[in-house]
Amino acid sequence: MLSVNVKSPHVTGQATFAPGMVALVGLSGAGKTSLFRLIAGLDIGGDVTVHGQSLASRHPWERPIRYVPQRPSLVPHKTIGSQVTWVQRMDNAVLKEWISLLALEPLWHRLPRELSGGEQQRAALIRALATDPEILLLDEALSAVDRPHRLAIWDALKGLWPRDRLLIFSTHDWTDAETWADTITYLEAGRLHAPQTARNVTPLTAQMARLMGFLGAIPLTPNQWLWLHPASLGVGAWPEAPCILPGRASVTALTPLSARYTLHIQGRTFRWTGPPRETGPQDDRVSIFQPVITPFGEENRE
Amino acid sequence: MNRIVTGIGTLVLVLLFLPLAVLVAHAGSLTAALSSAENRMALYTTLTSGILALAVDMLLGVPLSWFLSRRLSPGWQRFWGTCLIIPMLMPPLVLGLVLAYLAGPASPVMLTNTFLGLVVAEVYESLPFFVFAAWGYLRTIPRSLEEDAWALGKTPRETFRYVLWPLAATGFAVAGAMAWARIVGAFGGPIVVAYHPSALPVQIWIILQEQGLPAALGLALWLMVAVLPLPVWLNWRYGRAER
Repeated sequence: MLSVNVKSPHVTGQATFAPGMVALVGLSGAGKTSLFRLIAGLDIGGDVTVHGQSLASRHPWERPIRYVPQRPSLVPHKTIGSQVTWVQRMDNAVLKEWISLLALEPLWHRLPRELSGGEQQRAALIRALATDPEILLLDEALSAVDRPHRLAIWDALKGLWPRDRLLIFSTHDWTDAETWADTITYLEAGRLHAPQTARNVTPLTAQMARLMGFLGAIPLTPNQWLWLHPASLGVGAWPEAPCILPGRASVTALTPLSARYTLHIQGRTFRWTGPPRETGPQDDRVSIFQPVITPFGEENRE
Repeated sequence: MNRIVTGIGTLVLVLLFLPLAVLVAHAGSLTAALSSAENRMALYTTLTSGILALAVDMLLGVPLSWFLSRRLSPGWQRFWGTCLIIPMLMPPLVLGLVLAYLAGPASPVMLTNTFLGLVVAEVYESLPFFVFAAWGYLRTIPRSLEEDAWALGKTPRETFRYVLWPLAATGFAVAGAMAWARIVGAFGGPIVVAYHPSALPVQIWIILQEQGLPAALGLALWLMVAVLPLPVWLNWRYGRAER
């Protein structure tokens, strides 16, 4: 549906996105905003095509792409309702549903300066949704929204976003990406990596692995590194685990629902907090249930 | 520290309004100043030429300040920002001399001692101030406001009407009030280019020489009364626009 082949000082790479929900994941400063601005047509540098048609000669307002920046610029002298109506192309009934999902009725007749940061972000989101976009770019657009509202909004987007349209949202939170996206694409230091199916993502760089929650990597051979993730580690030797290594783990209960783990393996020590789990036999072994093996290790190990 | 600032602020306010107080105290009768036909004519000339000059300022200054603030790169903006200081610094008297030289009796376009010449002199004295004030204001309207509207599918024309104009109007109103003050106070240019028809500042000068200070002050008070409503209205109408 959407193909990008970008080459600018801030971001390079190419990717093709199918309809659905796509997460653009990267640390702050990785180039997420730069990429979005290129796609929206606010900056130039590279080629963007939609349904095989190049958008190179199309101005931002002529593109089928709507963009919500992280710090939205709501029109300061117009009420939220007026601004939404100004851009509205969506059916009234559908819009009404979104307004109530985003809990925006009480803010409808207010000016942007009377709104908190999170409320402004919600208003900016409804403004973009009201345009009935074919492609919607959300640049950490819910970062200031409080948790209950945020979860409700994501839930609604996940459920109501049309199957034939594309929503790309940027985040530095892996859990958000994993939870809400069908496809995840990773951006590091201005380099755009190819999108991967969210169900089956393998880390492409050490930084990405850390972002995904991996604790670190231990070398198996000079070119093979085994990445350790709290969710796939078992204390002791579990017969069903595909990979059992020598190592010693200790568990200290913190509360009935969480425990502090310490793992000594190959001269390294890893610590994390997680739910208490059963331990297997042999306390000088650890089990890896879902081994992730990559040709790279932790380049920037401290 | 706070007390010092308050003290200085109060003192300056008193000093600023002192001339007005003197004017009111010594001007004598307002009606007396208007009993002469020349004075009434001067008042009329000031208002008509002033409104014309302000219209020209707006007509020329709005596009120029818009061009400077929205169409130029920051480097060129700084360049022209510096250049615009030059016409602002030009003493009005010198401006008048240049105008008289360019459009004097010897030139094909005769402006000296015409109503049109008066308007031109007033425009030259006020336009740089209008542009400078409007431009300074327009620069504070963030670019992201436009970009957000574009990214929502709105054309630059639609964006201008809905987003930018209501914000910019405040700036133009403030700039207009400033230009108006320059126009009605214009003396250096008009006294060279348009001694006749005399606008109020020149007429005050004439009265001062012919009848002395009290009569001149009476007319000066009329100047204040006549020109005050426009900036007050502009300030009241647009000055409170929230950003």
